[in-house]
Amino acid sequence: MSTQPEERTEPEAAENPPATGSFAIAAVVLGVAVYLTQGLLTMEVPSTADFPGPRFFPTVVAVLAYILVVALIVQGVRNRALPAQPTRTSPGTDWAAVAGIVATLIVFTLLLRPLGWILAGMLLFYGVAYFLGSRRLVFDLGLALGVSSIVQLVFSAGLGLNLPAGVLGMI
Amino acid sequence: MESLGHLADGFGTALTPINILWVFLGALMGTAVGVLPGLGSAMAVALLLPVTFTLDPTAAFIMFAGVYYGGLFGDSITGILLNTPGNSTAIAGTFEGHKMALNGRAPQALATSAIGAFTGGLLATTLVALFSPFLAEAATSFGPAEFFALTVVAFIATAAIVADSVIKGMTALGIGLGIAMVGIDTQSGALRFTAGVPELFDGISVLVVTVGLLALGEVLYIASRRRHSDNTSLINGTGRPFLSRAEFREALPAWLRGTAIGVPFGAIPVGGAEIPTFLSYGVERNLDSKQPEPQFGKQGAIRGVAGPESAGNATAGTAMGALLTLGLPTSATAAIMLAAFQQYGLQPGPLLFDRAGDLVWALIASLFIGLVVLLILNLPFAPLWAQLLRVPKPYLYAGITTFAVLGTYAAASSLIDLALLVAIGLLGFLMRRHDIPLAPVLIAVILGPLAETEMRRTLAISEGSYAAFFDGPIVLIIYGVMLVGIAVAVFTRIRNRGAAA
Repeated sequence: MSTQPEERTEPEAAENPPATGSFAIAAVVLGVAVYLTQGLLTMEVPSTADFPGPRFFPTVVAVLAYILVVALIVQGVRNRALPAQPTRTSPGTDWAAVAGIVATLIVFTLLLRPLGWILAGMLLFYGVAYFLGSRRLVFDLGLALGVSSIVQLVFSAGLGLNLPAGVLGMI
Repeated sequence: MESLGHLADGFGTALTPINILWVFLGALMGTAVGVLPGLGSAMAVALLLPVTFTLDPTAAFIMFAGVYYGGLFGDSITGILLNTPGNSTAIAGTFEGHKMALNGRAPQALATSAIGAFTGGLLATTLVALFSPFLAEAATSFGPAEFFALTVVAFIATAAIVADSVIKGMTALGIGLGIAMVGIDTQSGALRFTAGVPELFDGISVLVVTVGLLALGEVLYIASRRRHSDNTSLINGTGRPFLSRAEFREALPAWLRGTAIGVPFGAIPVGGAEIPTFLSYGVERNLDSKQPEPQFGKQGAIRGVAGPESAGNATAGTAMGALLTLGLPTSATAAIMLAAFQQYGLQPGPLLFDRAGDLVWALIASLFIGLVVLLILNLPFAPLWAQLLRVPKPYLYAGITTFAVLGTYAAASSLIDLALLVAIGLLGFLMRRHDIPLAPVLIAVILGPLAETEMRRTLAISEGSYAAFFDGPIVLIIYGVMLVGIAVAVFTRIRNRGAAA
C-alpha cells in the first residue's frame, strides 16, 4: 500500500527495467513447487507422527506455489499482449559482469579451503572489482591482498573467527 | 515503577567503559553500512552478526543496539545528498530532503533528519521500556491459535498490503516459505527437502538468506547495470550543521507528529517503516498545502524531512518492543535481530523478561545510549559519512562481497552455506530485476517455522477441528484488524487507480 504512488516512483523512476514479463520468476516459483512436491512424495514420515504431520504445511505451500506459477504466467502473457510501451534507450543488462561475478564466487568457494582465506579472499575482491569495471591490475591486486589480509588479522587473529589458513598455513 | 528500577539496572550494566565502546563501535559500523546505497539497517545487523560471535551475549546485544539505530541514521544521509536513499524507509524523507540540499540547505536537512531520527527513536524506546513488561505479561496468555493468527497477519500484511502488486508480494512469500521448509521437522523428526545433504538438516540459515538476497543480490544488480550512466552527484554537505531557532520551531511539530504516526506501526507486523514514513510525508504535505505559502515541492520543506525521519525511527523503536515481548519480528531488521537472539540460545517472547531479564534491560538501556551516540556522530559529522560514497564503485562492492562471504562462512564454517549464498544472491538479483519485493521472503523464512508449529499445535489441541483457528476474542480481534487493513489497502488502490485514469 502506498498512499502516494506517484511520488514513490520519483527517485527510482529510471530504475525499473522495461517490463519483460514475469516468466523468469514463474520458472523460479515452479522450481520451488516441483522441489517441494518431489520432497513430499519421497518423504519418510515416522509412524509416530499424528495429524497434522510433517507433510501438512509444505503441502499448503506447494499448492500456493502452483497457484502463483499460473498467476505469474497469466500476468506475463497479459503484459506481453499490451501495446509496446515506448522504451527508453537503455544500454541493457551487462550479463557478462553478472556471470563473471557469479563465476568468481564459485571459484572462491572451491578454492577457499585449499588456498586459505588470504589468497582466496584476494581473488574474490579482485574478481568482483574487475567485473565491475576496474582495470588497474597491480593496484587492484595490492588492494585486494590488503583487504583480505586485514580481514584475516582483525577477524581471525583479533576476534578469533575460524578462517581457513590454506597453503599459507603450511609455511 | 518496577520497570524504571530494571531500566536503572540496565543502565548500570551498559554504562561500563567497555560496553560504551561496544555501543559506539556498533553505531559507527551501523551508520557506515546504512550510508551505502542499497544496504539498510537489516543488512547492517546481518553483516555485523559474525563480528559479535566471539563476544558474550550482553556485549553482543549492546553492540547490536548501536547497529540497529545506526543503519537508520545512515540511510537518510545518502538520500539527502545523493537522491539515492540507502533503504526503502528513507525514500519518503528524500523528496524534500534532496530539494533542501539542492538549494544549499544540505546541513540543515541532515540535522533535521538526525534530530528527527533521535526524537522518534527516543520516544518509542521510552514507551518500550515503560510498557514492555505489561505487554509481555499479557502475551503469556496467548495460545497457539493467537500466535498463528499473528504470523498470518504478518504474511498477508507484507505480501498483499505493503507490496505494490499482490501477485508479486505473494510470490516472494511463497519462495520464502519454500526456503523455510528445508530441514528436520522439529515435531516429528522427519527429514524434509534436504536432498540428503547433512548440512541442510538444520535448515537454511536466516543469515545466509538475508546476506544473499540483500547484499549479493544488490552487488549483482549493480553489476548488471554497469553501463547505465550514473548521473548522481554528491552534494557537498558541509557548513553550519545546526538549526536556527526558527527552523527548530518549525520542525518540532513534524517530529512529534511523525513519532505519533510511527509508534503504532512498529507494534504490528507490516514489514517495516515504509507505510508510516509515507503516511507521515502525506500528512505533512497536506498540512502544508493548507498554509498561505506552501513550501513542499519548491525549495524543500523542513517538515517533509522531519516527519518521515522520526516516523521511521519510532517504528524501529516499537518494533524492538514487539520482538522482545511477543517474539514477533515486525520488520526485516527485527527478523535478523531474532536470528541473533537465537544464535545465543535465547528465544524472544513473553518469557524472555523472566529468563534473561538482565540482558533485555541492558539492551533497552543500550538503545538509549546508542541514540545519544548516534546523534553526536551524525549531527556534526554527517557530511563526513557521505565521503564513504566517494569510494569507487568496484572497490565498494568488492568490499561488500568480501564481507558477505566472510559473514556467511564464519557463521558455520560451511562451504554448503557459501554455495547457497551464491544461489540466493542470484535469486535476489532476479527478484530485483522483476520488481519482486524482498521483505516478504525474509518474513516468511523467519516466521514460516513459527507459523507451522503454531498451526499444528492448534490442530493437535483441537483434534483436527479447523474451527479452533477462530476460537477466542484475541484471535478474532487480530483477524479483524487484518480485514480492516485489507479493506483500507483495496480502497486506496481503487481510489488511486481512479485518480490515475
